[in-house]
Amino acid sequence: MTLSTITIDINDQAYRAEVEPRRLLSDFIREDAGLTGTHVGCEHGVCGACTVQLDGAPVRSCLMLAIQAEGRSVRTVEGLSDSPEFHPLQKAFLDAHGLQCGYCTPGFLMSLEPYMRDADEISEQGIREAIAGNICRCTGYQSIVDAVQIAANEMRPQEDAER
Amino acid sequence: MSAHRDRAVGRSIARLEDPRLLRGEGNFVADQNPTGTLHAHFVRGPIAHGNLVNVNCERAIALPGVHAVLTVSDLAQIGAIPLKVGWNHPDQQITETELLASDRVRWVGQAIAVVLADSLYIAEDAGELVELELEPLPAITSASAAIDPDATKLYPDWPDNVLAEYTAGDVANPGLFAEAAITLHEQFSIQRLAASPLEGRAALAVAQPGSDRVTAWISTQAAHHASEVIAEACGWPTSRLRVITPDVGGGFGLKEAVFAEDVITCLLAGHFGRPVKWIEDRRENLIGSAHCRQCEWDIELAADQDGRILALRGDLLYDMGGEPTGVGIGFARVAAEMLGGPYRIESVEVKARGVVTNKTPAGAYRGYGGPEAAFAIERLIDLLALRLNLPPHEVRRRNFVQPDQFPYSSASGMVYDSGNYEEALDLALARSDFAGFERRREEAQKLGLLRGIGMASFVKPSGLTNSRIMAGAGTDHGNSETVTIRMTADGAATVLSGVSSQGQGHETILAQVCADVLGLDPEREISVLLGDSQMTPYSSAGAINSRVAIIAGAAARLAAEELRAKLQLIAAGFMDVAPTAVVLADSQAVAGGKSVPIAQLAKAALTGFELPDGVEPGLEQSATYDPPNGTFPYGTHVAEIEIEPGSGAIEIVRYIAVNDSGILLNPAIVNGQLIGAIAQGIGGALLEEIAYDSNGQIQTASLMDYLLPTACEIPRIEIEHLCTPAPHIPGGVKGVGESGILAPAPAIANALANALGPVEAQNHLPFSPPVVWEMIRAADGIG
Ligand code: FES
Ligand code: FES
Repeated sequence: MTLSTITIDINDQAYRAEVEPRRLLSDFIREDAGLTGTHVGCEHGVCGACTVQLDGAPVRSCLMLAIQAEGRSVRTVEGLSDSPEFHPLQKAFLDAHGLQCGYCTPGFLMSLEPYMRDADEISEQGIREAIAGNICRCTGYQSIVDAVQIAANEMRPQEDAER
Repeated sequence: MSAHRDRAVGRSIARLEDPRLLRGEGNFVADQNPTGTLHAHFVRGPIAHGNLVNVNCERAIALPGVHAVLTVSDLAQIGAIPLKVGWNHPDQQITETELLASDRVRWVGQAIAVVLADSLYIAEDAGELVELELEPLPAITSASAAIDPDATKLYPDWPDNVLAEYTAGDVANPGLFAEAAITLHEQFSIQRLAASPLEGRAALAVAQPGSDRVTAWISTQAAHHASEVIAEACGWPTSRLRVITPDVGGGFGLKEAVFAEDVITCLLAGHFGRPVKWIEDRRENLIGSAHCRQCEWDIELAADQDGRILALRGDLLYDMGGEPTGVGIGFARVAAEMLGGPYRIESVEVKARGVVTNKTPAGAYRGYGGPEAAFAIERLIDLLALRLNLPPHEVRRRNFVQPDQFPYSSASGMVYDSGNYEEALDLALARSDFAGFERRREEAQKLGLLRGIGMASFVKPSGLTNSRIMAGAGTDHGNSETVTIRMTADGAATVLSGVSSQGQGHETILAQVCADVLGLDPEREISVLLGDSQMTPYSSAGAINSRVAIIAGAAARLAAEELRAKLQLIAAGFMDVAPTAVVLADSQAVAGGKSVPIAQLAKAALTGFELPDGVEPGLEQSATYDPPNGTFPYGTHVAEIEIEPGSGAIEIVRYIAVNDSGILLNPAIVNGQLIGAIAQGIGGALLEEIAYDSNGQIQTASLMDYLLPTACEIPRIEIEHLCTPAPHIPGGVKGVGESGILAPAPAIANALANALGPVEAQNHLPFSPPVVWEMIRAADGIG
């Protein structure tokens, strides 16, 4: 099979590899870039464990070919916080016990971060809809919903919080 | 000195596991890629039943990048032998299974050959080139069809399709049924489920250079047990194989058993001297691992006119699929033993039969027989209440084992430890405002919705039982746990246990237990190493049957107490007080007005420089615990549902769960276990179903067809706790991994009956919208 050399920007770093056209983006991220925080739970687009952000929007990396991401910008869980500190969402997952086995967690974080950025208002129903495409077999979702609410309070602009 | 640290036990401290998992720095099996790895892919049978005439691997082997393609005879040449079933019953037809199919295939997805290649992509390509010659045979797709005398036999040399049977209780007194004021005779069925941990099965085995040793990272619930079973099947001494459980992405019982794929991965790494990696994909997980739960009950109940149950007698037909997994018919046995639930029933006789069918083998799943039994008995209780025109809680109340009757020996020989079942019921009724329900029903009616409320009570045997009792039951492992604690010269402790964690937070809870005894900070001064068959102490059974907090927790407590005694002795020498006067708290040894940092005591013990006379150097203690009996967490759950009559869709509007789990080590972890189990129970009640067509082709081989619940189907669960410490367990813990999964299905079934009026279909899971839509019509007398 013909190989092509592609470069994908992941978490502001360029990763270059020779890949087959059929190589999945999830495999590129995990194996070629060595970023194993992105997990694969179904490889058919249902579970959301492989969710990463492509140019800021959540996508399922198991449903994309690596070559489709050529020249584009990917963000994975490893790039969620650019400092040694946790992103507020990660901190809230820690505080609210928003994870058990942790296999689904990176996918949830990468789905939720844009939701929290874009939503006008964070509600329980809204959170549940935002994660409807992510399966967690461990938590029953409640602690994840709680974590998002904690993070939303944390992240609310200061003046807003003081009102 | 700074403010006193709170006790760790009983507090929802942050989990020690979480920082790495939240950063994407967990270490799951698939995350490792040693150089030179060969990727394994299994070729699986496409038909449900047939003679395997020939397997032609030539074209597959010729593909560039393919290292080997092997069948079962190739494995035998390398020295492999069949895999032993771990729990066997008298007269069981087979007690071992082949690593790959040889002359017959018995389910779609059964592994026939294994390909090793330089990449998984190439291995899968090669798999397509393996040519199978098969002669189809008629497929048996249900347990009831399997016991038809004319049914095709899956194993020609067996007398019939019954793998094994077990009778719980004693022969029921027929007179009780003949003379009883009330008798019920009902059938119940439970559908096939898939445990579906989000991480599938996985194994990576690496041959150690310069020796014949193999180290394997396996996504399993029991590292030591896996090492023993795998080594035996490889024809190796156990010492040749080291099994490590890294982070595991959920287990739920599926990963309790050792599978042929695990054996083959280790075997081939040892044989070829290269790393071999096998990562199961979702389709394989849904067709080729194990299913669970599918069974049919036929039960008679005898009661007096007051609703006191006098006797139960029944048959349980369990669909085992094509062959047993490692646990044999164990879950069918437990289902039979637990049919009596939390009730005092003098006479119980349940015959459980595990029968083979042309479907994926049945294995363990969270609850392990408990949910099967709870569904049947809790529906029966409601049907009895209906017959007597009594409220369902009243019939439960009249039959519960009473607080002064513990320890209570059930008719099937289980000994329930402690509790107050009625108190749990009352709390559930109060929290759910059961009494005010009719008003809510009327409100819903105005909106065109059908509203119902239902309850289920349960008791869940947990923590297995004493090892000698297990030996009598025929298992290949006991129930002891050993925990070792060693301290470093800075006064920190490392806790070593052979159990693994699949998300239950075992690192955290073991740290909490030890922290309190040793006066250390669980988050900063304790680290926990788990699940390594050569580097951590022996774990007989691993993380199964909700046993870790109970058994490993008790062993950790005992080891910590022994270590504390030594620290007290050293501290007494330092402060010139009696050892018994020394208290360990806030990382200090304190006596009277004096204190010494524990770090200083640790340094003294490890260097041996300043020890009091008679105290040996070293600071490491192990303790082993084997319980006299298991524990019996229990509770009552109430589900309130609304049904949209046009579609049959059910919404769970409230779910109240009252549980007695004994002492809670970490309430947030406990609640997480309960809520997660309840969510799985709701999935099994409403959505999940492994389906086959009449040819034995599986219809649900993806998550598009096998529907796992999402955040939109699972309501907010309201948890309440009672606390009766387990009287016989150091630490009083009862275990909580599974108890949440027993009540959801029967509570929802009873709520459906409450909303619609009783119809037969409420005895048969699951309750998908089309089924409920039919139920509404049946209840209305339409169609
Ligand atoms: S792995 Fe991509 S959606 Fe499941
Ligand atoms: S924490 Fe295990 S799947 Fe979500």
